[in-house]
Amino acid sequence: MTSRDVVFHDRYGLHPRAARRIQASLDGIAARVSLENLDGDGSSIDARGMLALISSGVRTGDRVRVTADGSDEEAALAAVADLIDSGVCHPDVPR
Amino acid sequence: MKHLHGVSAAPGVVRGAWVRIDPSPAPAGGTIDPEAIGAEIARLAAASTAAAADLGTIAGRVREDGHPDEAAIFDAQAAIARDPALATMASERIEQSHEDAIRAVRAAAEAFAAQLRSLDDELLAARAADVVDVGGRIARRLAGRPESTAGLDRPSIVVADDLAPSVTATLPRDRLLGIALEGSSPTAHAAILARAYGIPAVVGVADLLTALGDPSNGGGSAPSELAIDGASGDVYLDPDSATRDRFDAGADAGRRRHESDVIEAALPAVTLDGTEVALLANIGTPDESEAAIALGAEGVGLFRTEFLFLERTGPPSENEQVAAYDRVVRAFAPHPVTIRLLDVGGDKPIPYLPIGEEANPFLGVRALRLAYGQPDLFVTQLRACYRAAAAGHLKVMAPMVADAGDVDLLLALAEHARGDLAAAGQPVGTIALGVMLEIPAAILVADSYAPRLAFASLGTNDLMQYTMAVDRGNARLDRYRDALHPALLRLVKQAVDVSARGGLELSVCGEMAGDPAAALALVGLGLRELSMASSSLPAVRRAIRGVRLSTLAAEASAALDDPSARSIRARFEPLVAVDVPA
Repeated sequence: MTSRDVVFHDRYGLHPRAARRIQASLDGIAARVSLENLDGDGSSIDARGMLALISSGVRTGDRVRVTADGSDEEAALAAVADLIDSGVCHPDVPR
Repeated sequence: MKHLHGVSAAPGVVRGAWVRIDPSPAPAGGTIDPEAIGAEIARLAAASTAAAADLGTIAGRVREDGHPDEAAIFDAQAAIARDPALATMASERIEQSHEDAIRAVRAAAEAFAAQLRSLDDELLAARAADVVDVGGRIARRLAGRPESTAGLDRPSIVVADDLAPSVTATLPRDRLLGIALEGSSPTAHAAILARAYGIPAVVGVADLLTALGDPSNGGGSAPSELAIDGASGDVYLDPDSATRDRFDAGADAGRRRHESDVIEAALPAVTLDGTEVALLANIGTPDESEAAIALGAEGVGLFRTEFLFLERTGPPSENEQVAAYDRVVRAFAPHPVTIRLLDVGGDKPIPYLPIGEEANPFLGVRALRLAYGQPDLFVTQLRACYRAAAAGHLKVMAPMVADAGDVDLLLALAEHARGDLAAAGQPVGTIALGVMLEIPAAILVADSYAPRLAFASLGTNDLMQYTMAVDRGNARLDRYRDALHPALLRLVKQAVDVSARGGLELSVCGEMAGDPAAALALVGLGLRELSMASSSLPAVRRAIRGVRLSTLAAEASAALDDPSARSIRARFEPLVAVDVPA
């Protein structure tokens, strides 16, 4: 099991399109992945659950702990944590 | 006439007949016998899958219409329909309370929506409508009821309490004049879609439905006409003749502006003393070609190719790339299309492209620098370019070039790609190779590589960031960010001089080219090719047609010694003709 703390950078918080991208980033990965909003109630959210993600209330600037568990947990962690770190759909730094 | 006020959701003015659309009533459902539980859960699963497929089809249609960001809304809705969490909660209700699948799925969707509304976040609360929309869609599937594809039998303004995004996307756009909603918010997906489609919309119009249904209003019958101003949020019921005239004038002015833009698109961008400037478009997907051509783009000066590479788990195939490039090359032939090779870095992770964490992605391994470690990605893209070049005039430029070493790399990759194709006996077109000038170093040493290339294009957005050491997104540094900063002007001048000496064709494809005052400064400095967002083409064309090159050259020459962007703006802004021809 491995985990990493990142800051949620999407300007609009964890909205449905961002949730869909997080979910899609785990295509082809077997590890179980969960998110924990360190600035929220701290409950564990399944990173593959659309409704769980969008109703988690994660907002811009919240610290999120990403935890992955399984044989390909490193790849899983990289996929999700990097995506969140980069701002998902609407990065703070527009290009 | 009755006057109501709402919130602006999409600009534009319109008046006309109205039609009220109520959400097609989601069936209420009922209860089942305990022995039917298993079958009911299976029915729910099948309906959810079918609803997800329907939403995927809507996403495809919106994407075809040229709105990929808005299409993602429906991809997300499809993912909600497929979410096991929704099915699990609904199945529990079927098992424990013996609700039928219809009642259970609607209750489950409502429970998730209630959770979103409770988040005290306007944006996420607006997404509750998406979840309810999905639940209703599955319920209608279960009941065998068709979706309410509200057919408009004549051009109408659509009125409702709220409009589900999927209903908004499927309204017949040739008959949809405008949208007025009693509820909803400017951040709702219905409003986002209206803006994307250019349909005037007002939301949050208190008392709208009561007023429309109230027989005491409008002399005993429901109002026959509405007038809405999507920019101010004003809504008029049965507008009087003065208001009607005002709205017609506003709508006419908008139409005239667009018509004159299209008519003028055929005029050359030539100064009063006869110097012609080529105006090209920047595009991000093949779908943007048509609008650019309508506004008179003489080719594409920047075709961003990232859309092919993002949001997927593996790189696009060579054939997929050929299809996309070929479409644009054919659309613009005989004018040139300039493809920019993949421009991504650590700020924009791609699952199949491990870049790793970087402290400073904009100064890291990005764009062409990736090719040192991942040459195949670029060789494949270049092969696709050589193949698409057979259909017309294709140019290819590399982003993030710093010096002659990077040019060596570009030329080696291109040679490799051409060799592959020749060895396979594939037909190969001719492409002109060039570089983006966005790192100051590349301008300072341009004479060391210029003779080996055909062209260069100034990417002024990044050039400004790298010249001024100013982050593109940091609002506190706005004062440095004017494209007419003297430092940037001097670099442009140097690029013009070195390109002339080295026989490089030079163009500009940054936002600077789409700012009329800055575009005039660029022409004054010697640029004869400008590429910009197609929406900027009309204003820049008008500005160029209203001035003499001799004036621009004198002002540009003097501007090089100015101390600030403000003083340079003061030279060029008065030269921009302000009057829009009627």
